[in-house]
Amino acid sequence: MIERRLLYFDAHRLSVYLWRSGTLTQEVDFTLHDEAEQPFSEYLRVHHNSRFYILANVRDEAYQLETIPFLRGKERQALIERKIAQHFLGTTLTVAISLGFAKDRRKNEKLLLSALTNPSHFTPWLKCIEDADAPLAGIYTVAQLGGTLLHKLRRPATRCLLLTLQDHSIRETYLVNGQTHFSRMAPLNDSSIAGIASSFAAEASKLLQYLVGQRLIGRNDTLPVYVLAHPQATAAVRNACRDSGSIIFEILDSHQQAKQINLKSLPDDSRSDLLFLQLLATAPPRQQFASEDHRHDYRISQIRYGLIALGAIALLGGALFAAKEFFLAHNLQEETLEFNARAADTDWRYREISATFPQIGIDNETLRRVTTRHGELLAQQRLPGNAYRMIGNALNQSPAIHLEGLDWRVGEPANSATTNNNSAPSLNGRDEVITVRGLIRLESNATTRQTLAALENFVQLLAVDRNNQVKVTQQPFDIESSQALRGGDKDEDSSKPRQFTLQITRKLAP
Amino acid sequence: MKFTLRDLVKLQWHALLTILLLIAAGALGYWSQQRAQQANIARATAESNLQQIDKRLRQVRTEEQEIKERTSLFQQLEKSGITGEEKRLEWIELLRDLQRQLRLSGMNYEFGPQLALENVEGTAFAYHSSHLRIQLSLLHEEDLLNFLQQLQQRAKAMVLVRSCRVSRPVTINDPNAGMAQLSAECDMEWVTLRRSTGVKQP
Repeated sequence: MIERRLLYFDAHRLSVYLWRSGTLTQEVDFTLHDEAEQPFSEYLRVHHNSRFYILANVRDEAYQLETIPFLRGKERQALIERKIAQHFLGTTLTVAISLGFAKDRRKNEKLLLSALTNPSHFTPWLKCIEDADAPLAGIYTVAQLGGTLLHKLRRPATRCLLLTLQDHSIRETYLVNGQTHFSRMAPLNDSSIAGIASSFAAEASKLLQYLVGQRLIGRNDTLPVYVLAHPQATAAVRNACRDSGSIIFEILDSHQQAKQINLKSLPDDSRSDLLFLQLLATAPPRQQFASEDHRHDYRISQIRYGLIALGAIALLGGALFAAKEFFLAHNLQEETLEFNARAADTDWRYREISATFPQIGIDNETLRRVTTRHGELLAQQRLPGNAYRMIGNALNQSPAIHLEGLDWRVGEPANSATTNNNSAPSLNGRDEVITVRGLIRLESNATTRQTLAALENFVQLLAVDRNNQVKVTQQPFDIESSQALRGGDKDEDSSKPRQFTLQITRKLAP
Repeated sequence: MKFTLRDLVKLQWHALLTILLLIAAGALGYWSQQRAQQANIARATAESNLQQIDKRLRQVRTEEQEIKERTSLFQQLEKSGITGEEKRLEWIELLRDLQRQLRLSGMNYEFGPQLALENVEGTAFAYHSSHLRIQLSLLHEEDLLNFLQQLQQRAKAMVLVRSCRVSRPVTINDPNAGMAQLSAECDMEWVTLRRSTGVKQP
């Protein structure tokens, strides 16, 4: 947690307050004299990790209302700087607050320019802060916080006066819509309750006269005046501050108001320093008087904590992600354990059932594979008996056909039965292939046509079974168009037995 | 705001701390993710294992009768001598017995080397086969059919006849052929089932 240290700066002293959870603790006081800077520098070095806020309550404040053309970006900034330089020459402690735009066609912007006109008052202290590399968040004024105070106290007057007591002076602030338009400091000569009360009444009238003179308010306008006083002083202040035609007083109990802004350290007297410090700690205004050079170490501090915040957020993100993953992993592990337990139980039941089977030293999967394969192989166990009987029947009905040779094999028609000794045999034949080699013996005067008819008859006998596909691979005569055909007037050729070859392919029955 | 070298020095420890925090965050996230992934893999493995065991249990319940029948068949195979190492001595004795019994005048045979019928890697049992080429002298084709039938019934192997070639001898007057009217040449596979050696055949 970044510690906030509030430097209350007035004409006589510099008081340092530590703000922690609504409690303001005054740590040290530095009286303004030549040797005060050394202990202040020492103090800053000790607490250089804190952030410092200066709350100034000085006489040398100036306010100026200005109107500029409607501009944006750098041009606007340059014009504002020029206006500030015109009005407040010789000081860098300035601030420009936009009061809005005119509702005419030109949309001119209204500005409130304010400055701390005696920068030399601040210079040695700011130098100490700079030398100590202490982060200065900004320089604020009590008048600046008047609007914030009334807003917190729910006093939303359009125009009003706020009178508060600080050390030995009365701060008089004129506010319009919560924005300070004018402020001044009046010395307090009598610090007694009665003196304070009469000073409040007198200063209210004087300020009203001044504002009328400056034409900031009309002569017949009525203004509410809020006076902040200690509970013990409220009665006296109320007696002193009587409403007049243009002034309506409202006395605010400082203790009640302190509680309303969550200040735990209640003020001991009518001074309002602590209330403004509390407001500065909890709701600092957006505008402040310090230049960017003065705030350099504040920016460094912001970057430092930004870096740490980045790392912390990343670590937190990593931790959250890790927590999610751990939770997921934990659930998965539990599911794994459950699966393993169920698997063990199922396996036990399986073994229990398996124990009832004959023990043959072989697992069920292998048993299934081996026996299934056995069935497949058994289906391949064939004998040529059927083929022989089928051919024998056909031969009985074909006396001219004489068998020379018979080849039977299981397999595809195109493949031969030869087996390579080095490769695993294929036992997947679905056909049986029978090759019949024979002779046709007819009478010596038989014609070629009769010889072919005898073969045709034999083929038809074989093809009676529709399962048979019969193909003549060698004809008794070469009468095909693709072959040469020779002949003569001798009968020797026709009397010779004629050779033929048939191939019968049969689907094996399942 | 203008940065100077001095500013970087002021920020160095914070930057280092941030880097360390980022690394720690990344490492934490990575490590936890790895653990979750491992747990996920372990869960998937356990689930798959359970499904396998469950499937096996369901199978064993539904196929109890089938397994018993298969077991019985396997025992028959063991009894018939199909399982185990080849009994080549008994095979050739059977061939001679059949030759004598069927009065075959001539017989020549050649058993080839044993080969695996299937991929034997990782399997407990595998079918193997030995090729037999046999030449017989026959009086009648019925002798061949009887011979083959007897082989299939009595051999201590599953005999798969692949081809038979029957033809008339080149010359019947050949003194070696005797009374033979036919000659036959057959190819067959003698299949046995034996425990796998784990060697895969080409």
